[in-house]
Formats: sequence, structure tokens, C-alpha cells
Amino acid sequence: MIERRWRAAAVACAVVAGLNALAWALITPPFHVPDEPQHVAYVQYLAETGKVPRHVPGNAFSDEEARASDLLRFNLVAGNREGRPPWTAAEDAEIQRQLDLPLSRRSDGAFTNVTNNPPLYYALEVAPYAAGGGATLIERLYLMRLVSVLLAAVTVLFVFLFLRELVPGAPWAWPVGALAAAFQPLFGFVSGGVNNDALLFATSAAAFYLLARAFRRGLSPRVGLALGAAVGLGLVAKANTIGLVPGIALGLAALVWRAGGRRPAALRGALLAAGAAAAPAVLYVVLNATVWDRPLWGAGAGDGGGGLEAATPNQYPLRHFASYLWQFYLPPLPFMQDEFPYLPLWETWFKGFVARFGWLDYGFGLWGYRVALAAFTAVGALALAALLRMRGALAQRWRELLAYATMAAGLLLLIAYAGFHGKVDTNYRFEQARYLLPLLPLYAAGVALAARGAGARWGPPVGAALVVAAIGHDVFAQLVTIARYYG
Amino acid sequence: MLVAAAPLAVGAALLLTREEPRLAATNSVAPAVYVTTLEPGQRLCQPHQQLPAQAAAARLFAGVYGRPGPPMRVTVGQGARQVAAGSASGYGDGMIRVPLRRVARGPVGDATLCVLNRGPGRLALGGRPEPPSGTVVGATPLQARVYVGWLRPGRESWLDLAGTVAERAGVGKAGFMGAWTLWAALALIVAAAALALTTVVRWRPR
Repeated sequence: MIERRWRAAAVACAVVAGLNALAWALITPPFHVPDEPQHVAYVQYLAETGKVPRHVPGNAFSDEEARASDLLRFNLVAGNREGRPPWTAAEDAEIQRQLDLPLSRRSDGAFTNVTNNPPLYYALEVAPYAAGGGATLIERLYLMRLVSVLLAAVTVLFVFLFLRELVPGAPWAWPVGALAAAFQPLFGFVSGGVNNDALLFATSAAAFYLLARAFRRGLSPRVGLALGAAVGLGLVAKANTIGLVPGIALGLAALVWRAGGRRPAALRGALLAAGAAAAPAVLYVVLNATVWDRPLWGAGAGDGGGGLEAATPNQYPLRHFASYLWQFYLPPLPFMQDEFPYLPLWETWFKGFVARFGWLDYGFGLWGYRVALAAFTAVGALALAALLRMRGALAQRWRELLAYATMAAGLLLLIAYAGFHGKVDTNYRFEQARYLLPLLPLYAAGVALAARGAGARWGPPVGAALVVAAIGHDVFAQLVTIARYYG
Repeated sequence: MLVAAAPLAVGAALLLTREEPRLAATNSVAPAVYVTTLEPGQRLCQPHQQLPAQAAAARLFAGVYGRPGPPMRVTVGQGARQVAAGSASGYGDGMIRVPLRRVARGPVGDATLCVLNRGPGRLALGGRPEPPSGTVVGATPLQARVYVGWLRPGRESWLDLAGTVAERAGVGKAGFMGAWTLWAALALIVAAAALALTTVVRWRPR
């Protein structure tokens, strides 16, 4: 019975994520998802010329996009809480008239902060861009947003499947965790825009699922190949995938080690995974070197330029980085020199994850974050209770848990490294909570665990209450977004 | 489920029914810094303002140096014709509201806003530095623009304003979008929530 029903539940959770991301896509004005103008410019340049943008001077934006940006007062509104996009019917008529003018769609493909990104997501976006060939740029932008919406649904489908492998004994907890992910407001907001993070979320969730599946059912060549493909596609979607690789490699090693009599098959699976992961990355590097005249590899965390390859130990001392890394995620210790004039754990990660949208220019009031802190503390306590209750089973699965922990640690390390790099080079801080969203499956697992922590009798109703709370969180986030731009 | 839904519903009801002055329009200048200080008797004038039909008050970002805000007079003109005027005094730092008496109904394009500090205290105004934009203090060009918001009459809740908000949300979007877009988004959220709750209920242990 459960086997028959779980597919319907998985699809329902994916549809919920898609509907929610589509709502975000309709609510958020064009260009107001982080870096959306640059991502649109990348797609447009790729679609119009068949080339990827490069580190060259010139216009990064076409005349058409520059005009659309001006008409929508983008530069007056982004980052300015008092700024509002055009509101009146007269302005709309003028905007539509000017958008219809035959302006150039070709830029110089010049450098922006997203130029370093690999091209896979943008290549996917070429299809809706081309499908709307006769439409205005804003109309094409909305078509492009649909790709991200679809990817949100795919992401949550994989989150559901991940939970199914992670907690097979509590089927009722699978949709609880998956729906918490589907209604996570920052995830919905980013997935409602043109942003390559949307593909990163999907490939990361697929990697979590396939690794969990391998731990539960054994590493077959087929699963290994699929896992490698997820990682490989992730690598050519956004370089942040690199952060997950050490944990996945550790997981694969553990799977081969414990395979016993099936070790040859597991080894084949691991080798296929490595090959499938490496192939797109190698192809990307070769194309960069031979065809596109770009740096071999792009930036790491964030969208910033520079690239990881530029780092040298002399410029970025390890001790300084260690202090920075600690303070990036935790309160500073007494002997540390302050790296931040604020507490990133609260200001960047917690507030950012709970509600900070647009170009980081609005979110909840302080009371909203306090309510969220109380709710997240309760969820954390319940999840901890579940972990304590399951400690016997957890001990048997320590290799698997270590792999997930290493995936998370690798991503956190990568984000901190890129942040440190940016701070030393330019004193510019770009860190944002959306960089944590490749770990969305772990967030979902935490919520599912919290429901289990309430015990066998109260677990399901508590799980339902957590889903209601997640819906409320999302709806409040959408209301503040509506008020921000239209109120 | 109801235990979780009840406080959320109460919170949403409080949020949506709270009555406050609401924006009719803004010039979208970020009040990032105080860009000028008007001494007693000085007047700032800023051209190229769009006065919306619903504007019943002007909103400015003021700095008053720790004292009650000095009496000020705000006028809005188009050419030589004054179309709105109002006064305020005793205000504090931050956003202030200056009620306007309208002479002309309907929207007024390319209007000039003037702020006269009647003293005795000084009055700083928030805005954004930028190249000459026609703003002057007395006869001296100001390398900045000041923030101006226009407030609708009275106090309104979000529910009162829902139709207006939906109309605004349809502007500057794809040509086929319009006021229906926001209602469609809300319908999507409701559908997503309904599907989610149905899934959780159907999937509970039996």
C-alpha cells in the first residue's frame, strides 16, 4: 500500500513546490531576484550569439535590457526600501510601448559578476528565451523564470526521495520534510527568478538522494553513474558544487569499503560516479581553454569574479582564514580579532534564511525573526530528541552521516573561503543565506526528524503542524514582498 | 494542525487589517544621507516631481538636531501655478508627514516641490547625492535630490488597499499580465497550501 501511495505523495510535494515558486515568480518584479539582470544578460548573449560571456570590457547588457531596466527604475528600487517600481496604467502603457521598440538584443558579452558561471543553466534557459523570440524582453524573462520554477519542483521531488531513503521507517515524515522544503521562502523566492542557483539546488538534492539510496540499497553501477551525473551537471551549473564533492567522495569510499562480497560492483559504481562527475567538468575546462577564451574555472561560492585559482597562501594567511571561518558561522571567541562588525550567524545566516529578499533590502521586522528563532529552537530541540532516541540506529549509520556532514562542511568551507577572498581583495561582503540552499535536503531532514522527535503518537500531528507553520512562514514572506514593491 | 494555524491566522488578520497611512507614490530617491540643511528662511525647490491624484500628504526624511522640528511649509507648483500646499512643525527625526491642501485634483506631472524652513531651528533633508538635477537651495544648485513620498488620504488597511495593490502589481510586467496577476499568485498559494495539507492528512499513519 505504502509503495503504491508514496509516488503520489512525492509528485504532490513537487507540484506544491512548483506552485509556490510560480507564485513567487509572479509576485517578484522583474530583475529583483539577486543578480537576475546579469543572469538574463548571460542567457541573452548566449541565445543571440551562441557564445558565452568573457572577461572583456564593453557592454554586459544589451540595449534592450538596459532600456527595460531603466523603464522599470531598477537602479532606483534595488537596494532602496523607499524605491518602488512603476505603478500607474499610464506608466505601464509607456513601458509596453518602449519595450516593443526594436532595440539591439546583442551586448558585448562583457564581464559581470556571473560571467564566471558555467553555462549549463543558461543553455537550458535559451529554449524559453528563443520560444519567446517575438515577445518583449520582460515577457521572455517570465518564460525563463518557468525553468527555475520547474527546477524547484524537481528539487523537492529529490528531497522527498532523499527522506524516503533516510528514514524508511517513518513514511509519514517524508512529505512533512519535503513540504517544509517546498515552502521555505528563500528557496521559493530564488526559484521564482532567473538564477542558476535553481539548477544547483536540483543537482545537489539529486546527489543527496542518490548517495542515500546507495547507502540503503548498495552502490550499484547504475546508481554510481547517476550520482556522478548529478555532481557533474552540478559542477557545470554552478561551481559551488565543488563544496559537496569531498563528502560525496567520502561516502563513495565508505560504500566500497563496506560492500563485502559486492565490492567489485560497488567499485565499478564509484568509478562510474567519478567519471560521470569529471566528464562535464573536464569538457567545460577544455571548452574554456580552447573555444571560449575564458579562465579554466570560474568563481566558487557566490557569483563573484576573481576565481578560486587566483588564491595564494601569502595573500590569504591560513591563521587569518581560520579566524574568519570561525566567525563566519559562530560567535567570536575572546582571543579573536573581530572580523565582522555584526554577528553573521544571526544577521547573515539566520535572518537571511528566515526572510531576506530582493537585493537583500527587505525582510521581516525584528519581532518576526524572534518568533522564527523560537520556532526554529523548538524544531531543533525536537530533532535532537529524535536523534537521541535513534542513537543506536545512528551509530550503525555513522559513515553515511559523516558523508552528509562532510558535504555540508565542504560547502560551508567553500562559501567562507570565497567570502574571505572577497574581503581581503575588495573588502566587499557578498555572503548570502541562499548559498546554503544546496543543503535543503538536510533542512528537510531536520524538520522530518523534529516530527519524529515528538514520538510515535504525537509525531504525525506535530508534523502536520510543522507543515502549517511552513506555509505560514512562506505566506508572510510573500505578503512582505507584496508590501515592499506594491504597497 | 489547528493549533499551528490559529496563531498564524490571527497574525495574518492583524497584519492585513492594521490601518496606517499608505503610499500613493514616491520619487524612489533613497534617503541614504542628509543631503542638505536648510537654515531658517531657506527654501529648497526640486523640479520634475509627479504628484499623484490621491496625494493627501507629502512625506519627507527630516533631521532636526535634537530639537522639535521647526515650522516648515511645503508647496507644490506647476509652472507659476500652486497646486498643493501644507505645513508641519514639532516633528522629529526620520520620516515625517506634511498634510497637503490640494488646489488641483487629478495627477500633476512635472511639478516642483518646495520646502521652506520657517525657523528658528535648522532642518536637514534626506536624499541621495547625484549630479545636478535642478534641485536648488535658494539659488544654489544642489548636487543631490531629496526623498519625497506622497501619501494617500487617511489611514487604510492592506485589505482596503488590495485592489490598488493588485493594479500596481500588474504594471511593468509581461504585456499579457495585469491586475489579475496578483490574484493568480494568491490562488496558486492557496492551491499549494491545500494540496500540501491534503497530502499530509492522507499520508498520516492509519
